[in-house]
Amino acid sequence: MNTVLAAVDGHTTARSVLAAAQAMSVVFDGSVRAVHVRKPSPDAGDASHADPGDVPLTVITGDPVDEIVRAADHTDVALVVVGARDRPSGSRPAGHVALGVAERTSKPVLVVPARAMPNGGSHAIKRALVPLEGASASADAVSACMCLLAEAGVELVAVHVFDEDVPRFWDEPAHAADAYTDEFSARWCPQPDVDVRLRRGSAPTAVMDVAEVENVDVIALAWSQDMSPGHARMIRSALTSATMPVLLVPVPAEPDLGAPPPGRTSQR
Amino acid sequence: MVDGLGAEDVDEAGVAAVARLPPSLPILFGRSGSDARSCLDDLWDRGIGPRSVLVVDARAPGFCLDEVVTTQLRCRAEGTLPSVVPTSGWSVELDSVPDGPGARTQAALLALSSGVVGVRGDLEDQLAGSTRLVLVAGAYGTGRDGLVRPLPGPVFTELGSVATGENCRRVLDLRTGMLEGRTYPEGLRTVRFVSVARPTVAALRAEDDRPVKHWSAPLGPPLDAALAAEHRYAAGHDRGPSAWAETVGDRTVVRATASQQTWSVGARSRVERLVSYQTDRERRSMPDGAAIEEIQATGFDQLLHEHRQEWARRWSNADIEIGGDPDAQLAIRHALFQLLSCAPTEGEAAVGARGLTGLAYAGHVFWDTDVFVLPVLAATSPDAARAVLQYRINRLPAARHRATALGLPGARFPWESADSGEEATPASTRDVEGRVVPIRTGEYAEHINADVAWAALHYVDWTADLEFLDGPGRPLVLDTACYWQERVRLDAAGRGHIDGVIGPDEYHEVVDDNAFTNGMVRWHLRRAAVLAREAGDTEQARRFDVASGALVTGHDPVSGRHEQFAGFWALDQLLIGDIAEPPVAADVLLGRATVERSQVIKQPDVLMLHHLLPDELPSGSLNADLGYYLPRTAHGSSLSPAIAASLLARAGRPDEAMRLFDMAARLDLDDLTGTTAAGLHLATMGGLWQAIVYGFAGIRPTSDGLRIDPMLPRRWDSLTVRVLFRGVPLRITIDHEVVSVDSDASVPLIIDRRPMLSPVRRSHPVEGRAST
Repeated sequence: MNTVLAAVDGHTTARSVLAAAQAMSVVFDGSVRAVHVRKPSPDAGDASHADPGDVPLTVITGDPVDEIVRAADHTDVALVVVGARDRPSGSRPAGHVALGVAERTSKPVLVVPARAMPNGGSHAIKRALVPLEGASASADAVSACMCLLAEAGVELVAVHVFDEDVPRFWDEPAHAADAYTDEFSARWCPQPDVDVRLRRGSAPTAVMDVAEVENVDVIALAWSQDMSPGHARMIRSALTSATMPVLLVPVPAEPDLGAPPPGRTSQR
Repeated sequence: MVDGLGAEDVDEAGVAAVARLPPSLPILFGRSGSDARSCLDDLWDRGIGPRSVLVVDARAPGFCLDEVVTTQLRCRAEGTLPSVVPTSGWSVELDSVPDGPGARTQAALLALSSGVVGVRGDLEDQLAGSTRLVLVAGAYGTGRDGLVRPLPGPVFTELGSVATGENCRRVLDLRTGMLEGRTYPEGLRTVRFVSVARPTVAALRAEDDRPVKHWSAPLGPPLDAALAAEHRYAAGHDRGPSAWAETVGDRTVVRATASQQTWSVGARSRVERLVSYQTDRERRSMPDGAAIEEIQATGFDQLLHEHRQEWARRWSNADIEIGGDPDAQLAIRHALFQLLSCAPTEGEAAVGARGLTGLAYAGHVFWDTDVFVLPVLAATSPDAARAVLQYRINRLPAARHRATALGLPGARFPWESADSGEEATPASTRDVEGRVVPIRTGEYAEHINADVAWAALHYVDWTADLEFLDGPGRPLVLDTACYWQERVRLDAAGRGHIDGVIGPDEYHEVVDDNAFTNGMVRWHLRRAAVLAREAGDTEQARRFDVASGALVTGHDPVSGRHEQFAGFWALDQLLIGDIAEPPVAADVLLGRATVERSQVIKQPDVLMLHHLLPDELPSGSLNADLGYYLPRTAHGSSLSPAIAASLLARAGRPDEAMRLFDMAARLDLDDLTGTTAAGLHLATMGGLWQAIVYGFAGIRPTSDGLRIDPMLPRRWDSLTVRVLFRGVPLRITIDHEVVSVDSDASVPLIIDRRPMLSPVRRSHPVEGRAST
């Protein structure tokens, strides 16, 4: 049985986290288990936690990141759901705990902003946006998630942004986009019925625009678990401005940073 | 067939063995020279015709004809698969893993076509990720989006054998048009071809090392992904071993009939399929049994023999040999292979932008066919070029109807054309900023009218086919010219203008006095005037001449350059090198609005005029226009690099041309567009041929003879080009010092601007003129 591990605390995000975890448990065909980590210091506060309702709750004392990662390591855990802090900004926009877990666990992590699913309750994931950069490592990373989402009846929308790399050739505008998206979909989407959207410009901005226009319930992003300066521009943007949960899927191997994919050239 | 063996003599046992052969089987004959005559007569007396005999002149010691004949008999009795031996410069060899990256691109690169039937080169035993597809030329259906799209036919290549997940080597033999697939270390071996001798017929033979209990049925439905059009698929069996299947769309039906034989040789399982395709726009029930019965009676071996013979004939008039550049050699042979098989040699040829190799561009026919593909066919396979023109001739009534609807005389061809000849350009698309934008080429890319006329007259330049020119070619040229006559607006000063068009540079839409369009129309009207005068219609000829003479050209005598359209000089002075290394899709990079405000252009426009009508423009303007427009050319169209390379060669800069030439040569082989999987870029391939023949070799048909004015790059040691000029096969060999022309008959040539007659061998100081 797949377990969706909901990391809850006493903040307002807890109900959102539980609601998102319930919604994702349908996708992962599993059940939700909640974990609450208390810091060992009595003056650290946060002794309370949200009422998980029917969800089994484990309370652990220790460092929140360490303990959540340890709990996530269990083989039956398919997904970790954590809350983002209320005011995302700065170098660690989702907050220390959320990013700490996402950086260290090998499991996918769903980061839930407080403003997503604010009232908790029952939510369904109906549409998901998957930004794809057209590289095998990142596409492979989100492939399994895309399959799960599709099998759960979630409509998948992929977006590819011509950011620094653009196609060398774009023959007839009437047909070029169709030819490009058909092949892009065949190469990088595991499901045949994914709607691929093309955009140009800044990838973070374009992706968030598409997320808004397409009214998606979740954004799934592959990432290299590296938030150091110069990395994870897309992740930073999504965690900063997304109003819906962001699913971070770790890329297991080194990301493909080689030459641009076939058919593309780099901007000067 | 066992090639390459021979004998000093034919012994009695050998003759006796030959006599046992069925007459339809090609056999080896071990003698050559005058002695062979009597032996051939001897075979003839035994009912073995010369068509079935291969005469070889080998000196293999220990050769025994009886042994060879016995081997052949055994191979034929066992249905052995024909050999496909990789040959340098003649074979495209690709290793692949089924369903691995690039499998779809390989399927396009290895596509086979007869011009009537096209089949992609997918692995026969691949199911997941397969793009298997059979297209029949001219078969369209109305897509769910309302767009007219290809209607795929039943697929004959699925085997359902047990081989899965193994590595595979595929060899496309360009010389004979056979595709071999071999899984290794052991497993399945397949050989297939689409007959260029019988263009509706395809054949496949396969062998599995392991017992195969059940081969798939010979015909299967097209993939769902290929069926963008509404359709119905049905299949069944006729009498005997033949099966039929059909894809029925709203505009036509594509039907296939097939026979399948399976047998075993030891532990090996073999299967053979012979397939015939038919299409009928009336969507009638079509006869099926007779076609396949005739093909069955002919048999795989004879079909293959005819197919090889036809390829040998085509190559004898078309091959290009490039000394010192094996990569370019293979690229041009692959391009020639695809071009020589993209159109049939009779009937009409609806050659879409990707031919029959994929579904991209909806199978629509663009100017790509008239301007980029037709020249190579006119010069090497005139019957195929004639079929390309017949496609336009058959749609002249639709073009006339459109002109009438526009309130104009004559005929107006569509920018995108499918089966009916009506405009097939989509009305809109979604751009890369997510907006729905109108597509305006259907309305404004009017140069297609002059392109069609150029194709017709260029064909005549190569072939001197006066029967065509005096027959169906005449209205094709005249009706399209009549359209221009009213389209030209005269200003108060009597100067002619064409307002509101889109030229080849589609970054700048709806412009006035596009130099390419005006230049083509000037030429078109002038040539039409000649035809009208010949037909005795002097008044019409005068009107054509007046309109032609009035049209402005955009040429600036001070700078020596042509202005691409009225107002182009005033646009933002942006060079492509300031933005990115070309080729680059500048419209995607910068956005259409930014590009439209700038002087960055998509592809040769003024320069395209230099390419198509090199003798029509003022002396010295090529260098001036090259110097100005090349730094502004993004080469964002796959049509662009080859034409630019050709012009650089003409301008005496052949070494500089090689970067662009290589780009065109590798466009599909290296998937530079990222979309080769959806079909090969036939126009780029045609442009590649033109870069070699028109650019580097400087070969051009003129009314005075075939002009040869070579400009070889230093990278090439030599260049040999085969063409048919006025029906005479020519073999033109060029190196850095000498031009040689071999021919069996005499045709007028112009070398070093001096008239002479072929054959000729002439010293020619090419090297001294080459650019450094």
